[in-house]
Amino acid sequence: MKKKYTVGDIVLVTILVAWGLLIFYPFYNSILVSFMSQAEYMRKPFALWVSKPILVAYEEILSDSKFFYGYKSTLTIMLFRLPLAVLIECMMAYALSRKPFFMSKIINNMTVFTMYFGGGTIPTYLMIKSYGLMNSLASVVVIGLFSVYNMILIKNFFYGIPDSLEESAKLDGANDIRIFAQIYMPLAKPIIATISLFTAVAVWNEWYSAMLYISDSDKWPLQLVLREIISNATSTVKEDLSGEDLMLKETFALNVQMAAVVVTMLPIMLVYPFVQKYFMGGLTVGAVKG
Amino acid sequence: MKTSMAKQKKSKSLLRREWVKSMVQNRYLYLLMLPAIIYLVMISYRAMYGILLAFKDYNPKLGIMGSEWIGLKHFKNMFTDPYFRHVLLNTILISFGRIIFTFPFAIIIAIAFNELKQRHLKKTLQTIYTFPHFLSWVIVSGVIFNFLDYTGPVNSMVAAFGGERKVFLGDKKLITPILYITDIWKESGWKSIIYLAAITGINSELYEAAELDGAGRWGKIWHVTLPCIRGTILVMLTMRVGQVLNAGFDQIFNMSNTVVQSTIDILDTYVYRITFQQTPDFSYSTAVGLFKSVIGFTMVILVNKLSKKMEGTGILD
Repeated sequence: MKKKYTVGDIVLVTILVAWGLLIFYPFYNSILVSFMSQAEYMRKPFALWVSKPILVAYEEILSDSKFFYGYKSTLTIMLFRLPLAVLIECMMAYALSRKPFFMSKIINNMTVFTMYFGGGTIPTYLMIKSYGLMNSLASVVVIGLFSVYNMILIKNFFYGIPDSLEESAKLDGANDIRIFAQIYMPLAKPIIATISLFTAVAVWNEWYSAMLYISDSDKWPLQLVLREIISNATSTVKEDLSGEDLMLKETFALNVQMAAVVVTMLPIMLVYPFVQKYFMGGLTVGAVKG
Repeated sequence: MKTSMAKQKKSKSLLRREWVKSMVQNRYLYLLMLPAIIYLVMISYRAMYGILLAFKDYNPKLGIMGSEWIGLKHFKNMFTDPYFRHVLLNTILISFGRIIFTFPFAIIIAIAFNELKQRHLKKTLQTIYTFPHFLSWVIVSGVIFNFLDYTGPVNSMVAAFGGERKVFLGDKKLITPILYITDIWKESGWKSIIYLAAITGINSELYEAAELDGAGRWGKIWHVTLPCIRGTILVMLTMRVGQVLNAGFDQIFNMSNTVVQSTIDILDTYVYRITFQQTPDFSYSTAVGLFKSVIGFTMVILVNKLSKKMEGTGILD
């Protein structure tokens, strides 16, 4: 039997697909523009394909060491922050998810408090300065090394594991560290996957701390490099437009800008469809509660 | 009298022995907490110590402790500064604008998605809808610059239909709606997931019963879906209201330019600018930051109380 579609279904599908295209097309257009010559861009700005793709913008970007350094910095930050953050958060989450013990409630509340109240930009800046971390990638690694939000997600996961596991291991003479490492961590693989992805995305998108603490542009992470290219190029757009030899020039500001956007966005774009379910898993672990 | 004192003393020492015992028994748990506690003490709480600056006149040579106390002078300056009042009002207006215009979208998307029968289409669309959430505003603003460029797709469409090209991001009237629209564009797909999860949890018998009562598509949405996700909506709404002084720094910082700057200037962009671009007055900036944190924290507490009253469950505990 064939499913019957009503007029309502058709309208619904049309609207949802239209909204999907509206989200998709701007990204697609950016990718197209990154391959377009100025002449082609002027001819058909609402393009669906590129008839004569050029790689000038990419050559320009990749010959510039900025992006190389950007990737290097971002990956360095990732290398340190990702494993450390996940480990610290899991350890804390495990301890706080056990039966109450001396000071555990106070420590829990003091931890959750930092999620809602912080020193603010300037005190944090001065603290980084006083630690001598200015202009060092360590500053970006350290800020955000421990996310209370992620810790609570893990804690909620641990709550879901029956206490009998812990008790029987204790009877066998295992201590808390062994129970944590050998029983609870293997069980927590799904939530660890989710938290690792959240952390990896956060590191990939990091620019604010780096902008405040790192003045040496050779150490800038990817996003900050991109930010500079975008804001510098915007100021040259209008000059390009007024020029007489507009059409003759092969590359143009947007071309290079979009190539930079694509180079920064590509890893997430390629990985996202495959890991989407882990991200969504993180949301269904339960509402965030202290 | 004497015996009760002795009793108290005894129970005190008993209590003492109890917590010592608890500490010894759980020594490995403390060890597991140690790295996080070091982080909290050395970073989170150490940064809070710097808040003292809000009540001092910061002198880099003397440091935070050595600088001179000046009481509430910075706060007085703040409230007599008309530009600060402008920025504060902007922050609140933009924030409420976001609540009014962007908040309902995630719910609408979730309900529409739930009505969608084609599974493959559903999956593909969900991937597209949620994807932009995982990009930074640096990237997304780049994509939007291209899309709204003077010679870009939108303006070319406008021109093709005989309209006049516009500098969208350099128009004081258009910039705020553009902030809302791009916010919806980037985030509502992701936010809809929470509502979708709530909708999936609704007992299907409720829908069957509604069907028997002759309810159509709208009837079911209105009488079953919406009442069932009311709790989720309220919790999300109260959480959003608690964040009223966060009007979207990342987005505004990356999409702003000199033409529209004062139109969409919010507390966070203002603090950044007075600290890192002009001659910095660290104490004053700290005071503005503290003002924001205190109001923000108070809002969270209030909203939590409210949520408890309405739904019987708070966000915090």
